[in-house]
Amino acid sequence: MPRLEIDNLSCGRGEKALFARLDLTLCEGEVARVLGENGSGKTTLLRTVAGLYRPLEGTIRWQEPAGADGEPATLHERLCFISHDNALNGALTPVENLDLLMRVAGRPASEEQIRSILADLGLKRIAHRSCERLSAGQRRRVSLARLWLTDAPLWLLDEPASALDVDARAVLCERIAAHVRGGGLALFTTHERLDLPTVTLREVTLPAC
Amino acid sequence: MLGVFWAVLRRDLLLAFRQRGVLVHHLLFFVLVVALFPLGTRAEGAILVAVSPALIWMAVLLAALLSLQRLFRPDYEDGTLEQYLLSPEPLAVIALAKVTAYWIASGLIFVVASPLLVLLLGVPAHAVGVIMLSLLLGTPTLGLVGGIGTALTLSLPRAGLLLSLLIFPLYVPVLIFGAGAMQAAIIGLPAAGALYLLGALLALGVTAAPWAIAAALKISLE
Repeated sequence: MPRLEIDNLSCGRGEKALFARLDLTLCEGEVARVLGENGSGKTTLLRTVAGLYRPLEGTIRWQEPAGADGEPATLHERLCFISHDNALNGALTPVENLDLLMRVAGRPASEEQIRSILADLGLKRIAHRSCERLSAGQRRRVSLARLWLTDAPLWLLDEPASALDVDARAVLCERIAAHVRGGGLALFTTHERLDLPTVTLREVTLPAC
Repeated sequence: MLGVFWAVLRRDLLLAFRQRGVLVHHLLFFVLVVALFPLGTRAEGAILVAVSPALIWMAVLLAALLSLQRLFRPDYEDGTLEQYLLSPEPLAVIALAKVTAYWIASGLIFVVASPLLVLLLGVPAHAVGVIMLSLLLGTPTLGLVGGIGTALTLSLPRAGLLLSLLIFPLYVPVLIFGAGAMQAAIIGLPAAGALYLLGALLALGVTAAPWAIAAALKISLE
């Protein structure tokens, strides 16, 4: 059974710790929201779990029974990380941007797949427009379309609902809930309330140091 | 692994094509540096031909410095770079793809434009082949070495000056052998030795630089 184990984790930028001694185990089918005020280290936690920052102390482990080839999977092969930045180049279209992002993530998607997902999300009209001409909310929705294209079990979402309108937020919540019901794991930060239908949301408060 | 190499290469070439105005700027810069030089001296033909190898290579180095700033910065600013770092594929492969696309889009233009410029300076036509070959072997090395410098200075807001201090000393071997090959060709001596050394530098760069770029990118995003 895959799970994410965070042990005695202290994170910070530079030498100064933002929070210390966090213990968290996230199992199959569990979703947790990270609580904390601005600057308390929510983003730092997600980026440390993703492997972009080195932890000051403690360990982060991805546990999963070895696959058919006998090799245990690494966290990077199992991860879908949506950060503050949308990772969309302004001169490229949503389809071109998503095509690259999915290939880089090791989960290539065909152009038809990308186009049909964008159409499902109500973004058909802008699928071939360059991203610099989209609004902030539209760009966020294009970036989040990765959640419909990926089959990664572990999702790390940093403020996924920023710039989204009420309807788009509900669609996002439904997608996260479906992922969790299907046995996925998710860890996210948000300022707005996100109501995830039919799943229990765990809340994680970052321990001050 | 090859899949991600082609995907990044294709995407960066597409981007270069969409933003071709930038490439034209780099080319114009290169042409103008070379074309303005004779206007600033009263040098006669023979002297101009004698300094032309140094002039061409200095113009290439300056133009490379200008264009290198855009190698990783757009990806850094829009967050694509962190997705590269999180890829299960090796980051060095992505780095090599980016440098390759960068070289095709900017280095290759200098190679193509060079015959016209050297003839303008009065260089004998029999030397043009060697000059193009030396640029063809030298400019990719500039991209690979410059890639390390840009990756290291990525998180600094105004990195231009620091970048030049970092990479110009590393460009010295390419400058010496590149200009050396041109010089030899102009006075009719065999240039093979210098060209072989440029080739050796390129082989070393292709093997080592992607890993160094990958390590530097990781440091920059910490």
